[in-house]
Amino acid sequence: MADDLLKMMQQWMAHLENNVGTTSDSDPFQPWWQLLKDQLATDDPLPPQQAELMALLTQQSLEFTRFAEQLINQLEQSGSHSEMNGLVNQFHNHLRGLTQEWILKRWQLPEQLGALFRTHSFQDDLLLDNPFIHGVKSLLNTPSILGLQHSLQRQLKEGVDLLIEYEQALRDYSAHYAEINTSATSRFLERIEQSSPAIDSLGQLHDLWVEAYESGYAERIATAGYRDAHGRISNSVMALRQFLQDLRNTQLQQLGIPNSTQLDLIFQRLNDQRRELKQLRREVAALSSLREEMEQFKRHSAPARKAGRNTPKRPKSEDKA
Amino acid sequence: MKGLKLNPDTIRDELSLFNQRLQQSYETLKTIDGVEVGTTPRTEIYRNDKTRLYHYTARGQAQTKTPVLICYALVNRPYIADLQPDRSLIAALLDQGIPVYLIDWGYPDEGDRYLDLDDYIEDYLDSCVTACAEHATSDQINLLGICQGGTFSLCYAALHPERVRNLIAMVTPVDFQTEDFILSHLAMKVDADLAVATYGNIPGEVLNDTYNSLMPMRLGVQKNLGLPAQLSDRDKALNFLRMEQWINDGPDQAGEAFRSFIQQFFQQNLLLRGEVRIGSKKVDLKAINQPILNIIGAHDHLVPPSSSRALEAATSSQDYNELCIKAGHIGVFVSSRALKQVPESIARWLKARD
Repeated sequence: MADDLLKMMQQWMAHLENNVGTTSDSDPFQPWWQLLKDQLATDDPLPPQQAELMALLTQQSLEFTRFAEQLINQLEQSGSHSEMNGLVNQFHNHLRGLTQEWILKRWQLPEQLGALFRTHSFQDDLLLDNPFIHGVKSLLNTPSILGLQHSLQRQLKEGVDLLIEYEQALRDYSAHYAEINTSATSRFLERIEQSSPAIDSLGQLHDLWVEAYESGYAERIATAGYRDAHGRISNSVMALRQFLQDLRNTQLQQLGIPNSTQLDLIFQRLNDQRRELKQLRREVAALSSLREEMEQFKRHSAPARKAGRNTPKRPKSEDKA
Repeated sequence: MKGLKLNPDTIRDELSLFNQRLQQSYETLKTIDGVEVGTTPRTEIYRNDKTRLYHYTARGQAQTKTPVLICYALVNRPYIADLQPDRSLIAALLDQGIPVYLIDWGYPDEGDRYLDLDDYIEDYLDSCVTACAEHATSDQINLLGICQGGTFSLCYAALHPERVRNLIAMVTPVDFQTEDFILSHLAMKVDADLAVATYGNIPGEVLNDTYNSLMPMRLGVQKNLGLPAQLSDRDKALNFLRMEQWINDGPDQAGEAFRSFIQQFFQQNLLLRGEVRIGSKKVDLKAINQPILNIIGAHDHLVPPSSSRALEAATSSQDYNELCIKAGHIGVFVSSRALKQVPESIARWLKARD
């Protein structure tokens, strides 16, 4: 079973255990409950595409259910005509959390740096004593006789600058999303007010939210400010990734191991040779075709020449006459 | 709050239904081993490096002497034109008696990062045109380009007008800087040189993320929440899985070709100015004087109609025709409604110009 699906199902089970307690036949979650139990016990895995899809569905369902339960509680406590501002704020905060999660996932740090920040907090002693830092230290400790230390120190400073740029780009980019969320919420409220007949299901409410969000989002991403922020975050993530690749290449080179720069050079040469070979083949094909045409021409003209040779020559005297 | 009448019992029922459907979805998915795509019978008739050319035989009496060569984009797989028997542009064209050939660019790997637009257009596309014409014993071909493949087809037709009898552009970007071309807005400030230096080939997932970011709620949260209703039915689940397979099967992009496409087309909009360079040649769209059929998706969020419509004024064609379909970018050649209209219109248009 895919790890994600397993994790999701376990979360669901925990949620049901915490919120539903014992299950009975009248419980709407009962079939689900049974299914999760069966699936967690089975050795018969789903194909990867289906397992991935189920993990996604389960996660979505878990979030949907959590939100719906909160809503039911609130409605039961304060009645159907209660003040909905609290609910909308809750919804807004929920979405802000989801958006931030999405942004961080989409523009995550390159693997090596991401792993460093995920595994160690800044208060953690291990922050300065982990494989990444060991790698950096070993680079800095390269004997200066190789003439590399200064350039490596420069590289590391560059890395810090790139990290700062990434941080600022991410902040700038997130600010656009905060504004998109705010604008979406106000459009959402406006549309609820204008709804006729009144919205009476979560599904409708959800669709209305999507419409409100997409309209504000479409306007925002068409602005020059968003275009700049998107370019900036894209470029800063790529620059960091490239920086780490360069660092790794330097290290591999020192160890005498071929690195990606050298591989690229080989690929480039192979590509040039591939093109030259194709060009030569085209020329050979053109020459062959020319030769074929000449052969055909010879074959056609040979009988005529032969016929010409077989024609009796007139005596010279006749020519003179 | 005015306009909102929620009550706990209704929500509880809704939640219960949602979870029942989720359970049904799960049961349905358990019964599906996998999905098949691109099932219309075909023969590979030519290959050049990773590029393949496939031939599909027209059903019944061929209605045109000149075959259709489909040139799809580099950014996704061409089997979307033959996703499943009842949603297949190719099968529908064959039913109309049109012989079809399809180019498959393959999946570029590390060794392909230096392939550029010259390789794709002047080598792969050109050699496929030759192979197609030879196989069909025809002097010319009808070129049908889809999305980026449409842009490639325009470049090819401008460079080799004598080889193309009729040109069909489907959801094709022409003016890359119209106000509502959101993808172009996003591409504008991205450093393509840095992208290629960093990734080599641009990963398919990076592009997929970009497409999804055009409508994050609709393509993310809303799509997922609607899934239980869709997946609880086996046929709908199969349709969905086929489409998902295609969406997640985006090949990596050869680095040099990507760089050139982003810079020349998106960032500098050189196609309309007649300044795109393919190898040593300049692409002048005014060299195109063939009949043109421009097929546009009225709700296309990837290539807005405004971008495709720029084709009308860009060429020298005296026989320009436009077909606007009420569909999105992919719906134009996949949705059942569009497939009732598009293949028949193409066949009629081609027969009149064969």
